[in-house]
Amino acid sequence: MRVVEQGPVRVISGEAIASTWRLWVLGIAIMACASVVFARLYTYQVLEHDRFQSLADDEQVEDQIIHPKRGAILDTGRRPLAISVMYDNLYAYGPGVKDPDGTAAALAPLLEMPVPEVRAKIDPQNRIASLIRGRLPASLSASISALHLPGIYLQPTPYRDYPEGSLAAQILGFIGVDAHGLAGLELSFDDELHGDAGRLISARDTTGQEIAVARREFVPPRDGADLVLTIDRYLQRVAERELERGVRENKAVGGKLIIMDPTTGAILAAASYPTYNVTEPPRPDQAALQKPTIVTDVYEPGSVVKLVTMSGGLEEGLVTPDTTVQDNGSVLVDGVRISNWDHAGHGLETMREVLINSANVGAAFVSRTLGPDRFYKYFDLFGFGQPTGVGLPGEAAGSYRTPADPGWTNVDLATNSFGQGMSVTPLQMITAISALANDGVMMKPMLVKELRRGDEVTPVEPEAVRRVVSSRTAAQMTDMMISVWKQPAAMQYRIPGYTIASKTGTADTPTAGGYQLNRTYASQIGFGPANNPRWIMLVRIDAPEALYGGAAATPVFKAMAEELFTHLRIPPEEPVPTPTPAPRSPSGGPGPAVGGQTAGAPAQAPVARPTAVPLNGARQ
Amino acid sequence: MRHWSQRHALAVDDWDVEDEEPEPEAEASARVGRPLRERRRAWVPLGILGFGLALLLYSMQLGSFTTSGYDLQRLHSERDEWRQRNEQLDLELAKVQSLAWIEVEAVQRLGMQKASHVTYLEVPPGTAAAPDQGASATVTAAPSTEPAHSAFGDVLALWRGLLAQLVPPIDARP
Repeated sequence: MRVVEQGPVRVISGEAIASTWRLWVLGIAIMACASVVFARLYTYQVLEHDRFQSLADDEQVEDQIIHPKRGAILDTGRRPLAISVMYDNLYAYGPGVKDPDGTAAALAPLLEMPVPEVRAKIDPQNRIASLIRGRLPASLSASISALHLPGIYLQPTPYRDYPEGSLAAQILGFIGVDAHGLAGLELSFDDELHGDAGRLISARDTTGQEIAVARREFVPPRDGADLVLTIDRYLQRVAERELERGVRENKAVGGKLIIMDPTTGAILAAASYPTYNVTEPPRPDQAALQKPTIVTDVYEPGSVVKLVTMSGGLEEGLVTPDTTVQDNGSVLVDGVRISNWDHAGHGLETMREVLINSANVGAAFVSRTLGPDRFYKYFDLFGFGQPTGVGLPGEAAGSYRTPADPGWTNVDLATNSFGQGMSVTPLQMITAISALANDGVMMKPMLVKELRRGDEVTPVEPEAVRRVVSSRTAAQMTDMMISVWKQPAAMQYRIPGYTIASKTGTADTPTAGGYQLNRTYASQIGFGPANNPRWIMLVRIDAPEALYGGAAATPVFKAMAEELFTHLRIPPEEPVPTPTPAPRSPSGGPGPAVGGQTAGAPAQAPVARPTAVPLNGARQ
Repeated sequence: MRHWSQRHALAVDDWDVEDEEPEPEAEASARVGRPLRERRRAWVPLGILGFGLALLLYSMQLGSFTTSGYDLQRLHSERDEWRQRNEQLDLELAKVQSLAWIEVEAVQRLGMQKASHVTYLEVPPGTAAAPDQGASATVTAAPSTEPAHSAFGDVLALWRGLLAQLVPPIDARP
């Protein structure tokens, strides 16, 4: 066939036409196939993109939560009390282990575990990874990692550790498996300590390895802040030791010991006995011990409240230290006889002697003179019935009745004046009396003095709550409390060279039907040095055999006061006679050499005025 | 029946016929020297070469990027490992510096005991130790019985130094 066209002549043979036709058919077939492929691609890539993207993401993309490092809790000298440390946990994924026996044999010597024990933890049928051993040291992790055992993997896991052991357990609290606080400061400062979690979104290959060139989104975690406490680890340790000794020697059931700086409200030590061990997993049967009992548990304070009663009387100008009252041993109030603790009458006694003798009759006289309105005004001013706001969870407010409450009588006014028929927490009590040691200004108790996140430091400033009494009243009260400390009956508890202002207290334990007279709260509160207080301390012994504060709490108070003077480097106000040095033992044992260690101790003496450096024994 | 090569040749000839169509004189004068067909054929290998080079560069870059990515992952992993090791050492250090440890060391190993009496030294202003020097500075500041730079002292110090080089002190530790 020949085709003739206008213009240039093109000759196409019959074979060429057949060939062109086949090409067309082939082209159409390819196009058809391509169309089908493209149609399917369009369906997968465009129409059902989201579904397939989701399916692919499920397989490939890993959204990993990166846990922040929990902040540490440090003592006032920034020494760690609680820190978080990463350790590896060793897991076995049974189906992935190719040779269970060989794997167990390889791991056992490294883990120092019997081979059968390791083998028992590798179950090839179990699709849930089983923990072989937790908390591996880094060197051991590296050794295991170098073995490249299939099905065996290491998982970094944060652990909370306590370098000082179970120190201040009730104050620190503990965390749960989710690394959130469950008690103590760990709970109340959980937001600051925990930090913010980060995220890593990455694609993984079939072996679980991250695909380096694939999509990757990383939001870094924000580590938690470190809490710097006002607690001094040395004082805390000594306080716990002395309290435990006091409880044991008095055959008591427990006790509290709190030390505070009255000028700032900083709590230097807060010991409770019995307590729990924070380094061990929490036990449900110890739930009552796991709370900060210095703020959660209330008690009847007893005679230490006479300080508040007397402060009110002095402040209102109704009594002076030399005002006298006739004390016949008991007084009748609304038909109820109010007696002294020893049922003894002291005759005509001054207000100073009321405190020295701890006379209930005298305290009732002051409260009656004040009248309920003014009397309870001072209870309110001294912070009774209100939480201190120290920042520990579960703080109780304590309670007392006022004329506005149903059932209140003048008997309440009388008994409240010597600390019965009311309840306070130990921290409330020491905070109240600290106002007298701080020129009449009550400071808010504080446990945290700063938060540190890297170089960023957020200090927590001391906060004055209010002026409770005038400076004059505070000075008068201090003077009267010194008289209490210096009374002849307490001669054996004096500390040479130092003056302490203090008051003891004994309260019977309230029960459902009255008071249990042979079970008391024996306490002592005091501050020193009396003319320039650096510390205030409350010691409470629960149900001591000796019953009274002067017998049970005072020895602990004295022992701790001596430690405080030495540790805080407070020189004596009066010259102290130096004892004759003990002769050195022939064996060359320790003696005066112990005192000589002070050469290595840090000196904190200011240059501006003459200072004293104690040559004490082993101090930190 | 022609073979494929012949048919191909025919088709090529046909194209050749088309290529040999007379061009406008303006174009012909602009393209001096090399025929259009040859220039077209020259571009094909160049294009393939360029494409190949681009592909090679891309694959090299991709490879480099992938390698860097895996290196980065490995370094991150190493960094985490060292951080972990560092944290654990910090903990060990804190435990060694804890009061419980110090007490055990002081009492059981060194035989120390609690001081029965505390002596306070009154330090007059101006001679107090700087806070970072510790009380040892005060001790050093105490009047010495020997002159500060006596010839005898220098000779003695030299002799002691030489002696220490030759015979290490008994309590020296590696």
